[in-house]
Amino acid sequence: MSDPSPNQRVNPFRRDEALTTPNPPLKCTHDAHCTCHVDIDHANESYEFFQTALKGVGTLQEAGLFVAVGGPTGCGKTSLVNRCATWARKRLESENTKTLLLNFSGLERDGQTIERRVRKVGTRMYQEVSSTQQLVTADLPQIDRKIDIEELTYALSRAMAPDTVLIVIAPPAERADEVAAYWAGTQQKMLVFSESSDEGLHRRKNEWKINNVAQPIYLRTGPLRPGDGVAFRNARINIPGRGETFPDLDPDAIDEFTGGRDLSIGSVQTLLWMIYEHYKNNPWPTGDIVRRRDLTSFIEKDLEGRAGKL
Amino acid sequence: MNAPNARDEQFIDDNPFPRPSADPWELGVDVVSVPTPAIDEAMRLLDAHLAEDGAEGVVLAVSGDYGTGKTHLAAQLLRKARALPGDEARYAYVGAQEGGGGFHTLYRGNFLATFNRDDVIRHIREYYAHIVADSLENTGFPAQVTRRLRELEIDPQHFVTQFNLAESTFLQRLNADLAKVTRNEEYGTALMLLLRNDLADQVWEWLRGEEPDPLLRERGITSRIDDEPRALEAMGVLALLYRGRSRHFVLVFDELEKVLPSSSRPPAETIAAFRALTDLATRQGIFLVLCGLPEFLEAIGQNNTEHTITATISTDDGLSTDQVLTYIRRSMASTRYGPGLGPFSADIVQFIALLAGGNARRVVQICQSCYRMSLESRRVDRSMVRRAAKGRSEVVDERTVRQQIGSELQNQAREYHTDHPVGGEDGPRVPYWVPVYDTGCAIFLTDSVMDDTDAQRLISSARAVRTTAPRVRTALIVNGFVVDTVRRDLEDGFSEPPLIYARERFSEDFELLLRRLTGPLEATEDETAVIRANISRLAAAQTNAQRYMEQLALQVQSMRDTTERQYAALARDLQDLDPARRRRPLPEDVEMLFTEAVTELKALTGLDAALSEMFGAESPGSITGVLLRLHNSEAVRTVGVAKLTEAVITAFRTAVEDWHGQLDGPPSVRQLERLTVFCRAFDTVLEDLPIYQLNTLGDLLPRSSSRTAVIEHHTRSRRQTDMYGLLSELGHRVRQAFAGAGPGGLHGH
Repeated sequence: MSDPSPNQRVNPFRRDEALTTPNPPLKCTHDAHCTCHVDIDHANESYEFFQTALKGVGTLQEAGLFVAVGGPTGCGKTSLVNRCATWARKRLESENTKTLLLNFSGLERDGQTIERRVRKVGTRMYQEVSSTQQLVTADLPQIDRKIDIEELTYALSRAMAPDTVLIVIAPPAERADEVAAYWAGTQQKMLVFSESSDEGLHRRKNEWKINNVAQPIYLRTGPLRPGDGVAFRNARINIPGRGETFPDLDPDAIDEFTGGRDLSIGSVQTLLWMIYEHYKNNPWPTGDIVRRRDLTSFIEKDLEGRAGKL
Repeated sequence: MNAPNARDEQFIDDNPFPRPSADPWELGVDVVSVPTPAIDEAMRLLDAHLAEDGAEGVVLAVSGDYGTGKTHLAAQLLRKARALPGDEARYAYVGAQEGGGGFHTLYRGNFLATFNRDDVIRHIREYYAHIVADSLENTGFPAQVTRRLRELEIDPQHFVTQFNLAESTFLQRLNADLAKVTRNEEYGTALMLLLRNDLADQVWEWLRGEEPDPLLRERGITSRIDDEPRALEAMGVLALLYRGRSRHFVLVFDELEKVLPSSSRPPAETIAAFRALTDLATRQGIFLVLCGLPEFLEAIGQNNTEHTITATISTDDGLSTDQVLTYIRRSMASTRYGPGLGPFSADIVQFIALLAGGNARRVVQICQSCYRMSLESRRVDRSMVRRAAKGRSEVVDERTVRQQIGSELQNQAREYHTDHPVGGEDGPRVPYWVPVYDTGCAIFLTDSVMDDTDAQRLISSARAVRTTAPRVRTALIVNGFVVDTVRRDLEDGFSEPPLIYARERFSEDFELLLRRLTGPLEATEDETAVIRANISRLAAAQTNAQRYMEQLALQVQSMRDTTERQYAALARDLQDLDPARRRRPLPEDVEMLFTEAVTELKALTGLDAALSEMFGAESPGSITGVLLRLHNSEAVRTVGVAKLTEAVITAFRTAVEDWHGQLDGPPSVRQLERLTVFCRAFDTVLEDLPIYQLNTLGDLLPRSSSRTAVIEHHTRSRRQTDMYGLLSELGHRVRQAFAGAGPGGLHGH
């Protein structure tokens, strides 16, 4: 077929969130069985494990739940957190529980010690909760000194109404020490997510003990496994317009490209986003289908053309 | 082409002999060298080392007197490494600085000047690039990309960001690799963090010996490079980093005698750390060259380190006449004269070798002067050589030497006389006379002793003194040099061998000479009398020291006054400087951030509104609002917090405005770092302000009497929620506004 005019072309790897960046974490708010999330490195298992854990806790009023998510950059930690938090909120609200979702994932971390950043998160939680009248029944104590997150969240938990749950997404932690601090601040009536790329996180999680106020679980994300590329391709490409408003993608292209090496879904998504942006304004590849060699030659040309140079 | 005639030639500076100011280790310059046993041996060691893959390291100690060619030898080794193809071998030269100061000073000064921040980062980036490239092998990323990454033609950090690769994994691998390379986890982490813009400054400051920043402490960097052993350790670590992935690394430390204490052995821990450095070099295949005066080897304790010092080479043998001949002949090849000796004759070469006493530096200096003097005559004669020799050796004038001798005698509280007649008014006169009981020491001063006539004249003077007073001990200080042929005569003609003046160590040399001169005389006296005399001298020396300290204090005060005056003048100048630019308004977006914060804060307290009511036109004299605030102590406190916060925001804004006024274009990385410092300072102060109390204002403060009260209350509730977020993000948002501006962005507003 002849290429459609540029203004009819679309990029199947562009997401609503992707206004300026090629690789935003998914912020899907669909129901559980949507196609936004792809089962990369058993992500669905992690998601189901979380669902089970949340159910297993009984009620969060009895014991809070702390969810640590580990894995390298670009492997979908934030997307998994968003997915779990969205599902948990819907589920809790369906059970007539009032929820407040506090998302601190964009909180600046440059130039701040862990102690300072954690205290900032605690203070922000305190501020947000205390200003949301329907969540609090008891008086919150006045804070006129620096206190640690544990003390702060304990006071919050005590003051929160019995039918309320606070869902907190902590800022991405560079180090496992910071994740441990958020675990220490998890109390009853709280569901806290904390993600980190620190390889030490997997080891440190063994130090977290289940106690009377909260239970920790650990979810892991990883690089693409064999077959993940096909699943990802199918989820994004098998939509109306394939071969008409955007070129097709060879089912084996991704797996061939990764060559069995540890590449992340983030890097593949970025590369595909870039090449499909390119095809919005340039002739399509032979046969209107993107193959592995097209990806390779695109990188060569892209590097020659603009970026990556010293 | 016609050869230039003699008249033109004299204006052409083709002097082939290096000037004294030229850096002998400037490796890009071809230098003429002659084979000597020392150089041959060093080259043989280096050749053997380079020939073997994975060879053990070599620690080569090169010792010799001033000017005997230690640095030249080291530079030849470095040139050899430099000439190897590609990245086969790396090399570095670190010379000690004037004034000594130990290994810590050497590390912070010349070492970090050689192994500078950009270079260190480049080496770390090289490791990082290899890690990234390794991860991409056998993937769809083109082979040329991995090759270009390894060769740093592609910035690996930019590349990782561009393709959203697993940065965290790479950085953790880099950390592990660097810990392995440097054999030190703390350095592994610190060097890895140097790649991060937000932490590079802190890491570099730490490497420079400062206390670790809290951000480094929480990452496990807790020690401080603040003493000799740690400085030596740091040098070893950076040397390993520099060696990187290349097969060989030649590292030269020169003039080590300046680093080691001259009067005593270094502390045991310094010796141990030094040994650790040489051990490290041996184990890690580094070719380490340690150059210095012979005493440096004594100071580090040859016995303790002999198993780590692979070889010791002395350059003291000096150049023979034949070697000088070869040197001049080779040097002439590049001049207008071409092959041959040029303006030098064989006889003159022999004379130069004789006067220089085999000292390589002196040979070069004499040749350099002679060549210059012979430009017109095209012939070097003996008088030129003599003039050149004297001119080069008598590096300071006689008056300076005399002043220094007097000053040293005073410091030691020695009584002394100048131009003193020994044995009565008619006795032979000596330049310096130091009385010791009923006799004394006669110290003579002369310029270069270039022949037997000079020597005999001096020896006769000494003999005349001894004839008059047989117990007198004599010494000769030479401001210049002594030709080898008369050296022995001079040693026999005086009580002590001649002391050749060397500015760098005259103080120590003279003290030792005096001790040797006076020792035998004092030993013959009653012990109690000697002790009494020594105590008396010590007291006098102390007084001298006290006076010196007072003078020093006055000087420091004077310097301080001057500096303060200069600062004041500078401040005035800065105020006058380009006022229009200093007043340049902030970009609209940034201004809005500050305005929003202050406005919200003011609205929250309601104080300004209450004061307006009190003194305003609408309801003048209404003091209720203000009184209600004053009657509630909690409200007073909270309003205080709000006003204080407002003052902090205003100060922050002023700092940002001044910073912005200094910009000539879009902010550079450095300028953004400065802005970051302000933003962090603001965040830090904010952390310590009890702004949580602002939350209670809604309940504590009276509502306005106006009809907008309901709306105001509603607004307050919202503001209480937003206030903390607004303030705690202010620094970040200000920085982002400038950082995200890009070329021609916000700055152009």
